[in-house]
Amino acid sequence: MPIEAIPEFDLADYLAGCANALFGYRVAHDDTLSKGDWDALRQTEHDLLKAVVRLRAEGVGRLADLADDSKAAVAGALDSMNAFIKKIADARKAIAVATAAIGLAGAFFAGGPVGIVTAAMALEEAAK
Amino acid sequence: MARAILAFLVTFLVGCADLKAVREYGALGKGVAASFPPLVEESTLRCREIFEYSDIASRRYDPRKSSDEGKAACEQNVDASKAMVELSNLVGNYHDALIKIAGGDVAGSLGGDYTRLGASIKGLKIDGVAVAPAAKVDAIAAVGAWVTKVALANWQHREITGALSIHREVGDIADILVVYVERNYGAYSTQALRQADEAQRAIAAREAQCTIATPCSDPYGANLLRRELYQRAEMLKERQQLVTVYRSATDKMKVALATLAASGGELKSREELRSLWDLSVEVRDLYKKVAAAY
Repeated sequence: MPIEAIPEFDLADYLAGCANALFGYRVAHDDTLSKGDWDALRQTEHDLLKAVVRLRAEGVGRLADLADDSKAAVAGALDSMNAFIKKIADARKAIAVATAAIGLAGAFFAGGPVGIVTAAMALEEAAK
Repeated sequence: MARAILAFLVTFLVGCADLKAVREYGALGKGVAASFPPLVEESTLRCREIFEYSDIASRRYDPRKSSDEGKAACEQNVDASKAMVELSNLVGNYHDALIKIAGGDVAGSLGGDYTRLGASIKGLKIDGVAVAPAAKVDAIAAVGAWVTKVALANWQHREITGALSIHREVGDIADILVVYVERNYGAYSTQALRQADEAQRAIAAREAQCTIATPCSDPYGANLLRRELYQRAEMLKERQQLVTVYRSATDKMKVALATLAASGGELKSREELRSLWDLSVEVRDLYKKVAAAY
């Protein structure tokens, strides 16, 4: 079914027109309508308005169903792109950890306790 | 060796899409996606207002009752529209990721990290003696950075081509969102506008029956209501324009994506020449470094 031809939307528009006609009549005769007639007209008008909301919601549901295949394809492409972005971040992290580990080894061979602690902290930070 | 590398890179780089165009397209698509959720919120607002305004011109108007009825009835619209917001978010995230992977320096982004790694190795000394000769470390780090750059550029190209290849699916979702904007947001706006017009007409007809002998009970109140309805109608007419704006932005986005997907395998000639020039400089420098170290 073409997405433009969802019957729920057409029917909803038609019922909205009917509700509006009732509304106009009720407003124009607000002073002269009996409470019973006014209430009955209002009830019918509101029933129509609620049917309009329901039909439009059903139409939107149909639209969502029509999107299922395309949604899966776009989600797949998005996953793939995000994996690429993550790989770069992971590679950066791996190089940073290697850099910090070599720094720690250097500090260890240099023998300075302060340098070792600083390098160890740098390694911990890089590994986070 | 350098010639072989250059030949490989030329073959591979010529297939790259114009990254700037991809980023520009991504920004356009992201903008269209960002404009959707406010329309969904407004659609529910219009839905509620239709109930709220249904008694406003009546002696029996009860604001709380009208408001409660509107909220309860339009909850269905809120629930149904969630799926559309989800779709719009998916399209927004797709374009966001496209902008990120088409970043100009994505391929070379690890170069600085390799330099820092090289500096760390060069600084490594045992008993005051450097573990590795500086020239060799520099050469290895440069080769590592370069190989990574080539691999990332290749991967980047694959990802962009893959992302652009689903342009029909992205277009289908964009069309579905346009139908929502037209048949839900637009329909509620039209319905609210017709209600305001109808109320103005009905009040005018009611007022026309007032005479000096039988005056209207409260002309000031009636005029205030007419003023409110007139302003509301004007506002709704303005908001209706958004349907056209959204459709036209989506059409533009679809055309841009289709064009990009169709020309995805080509570089603009100037950009191509610049890339080849940069590449030849890189390979020459690399060659010099390796030759000096070994």
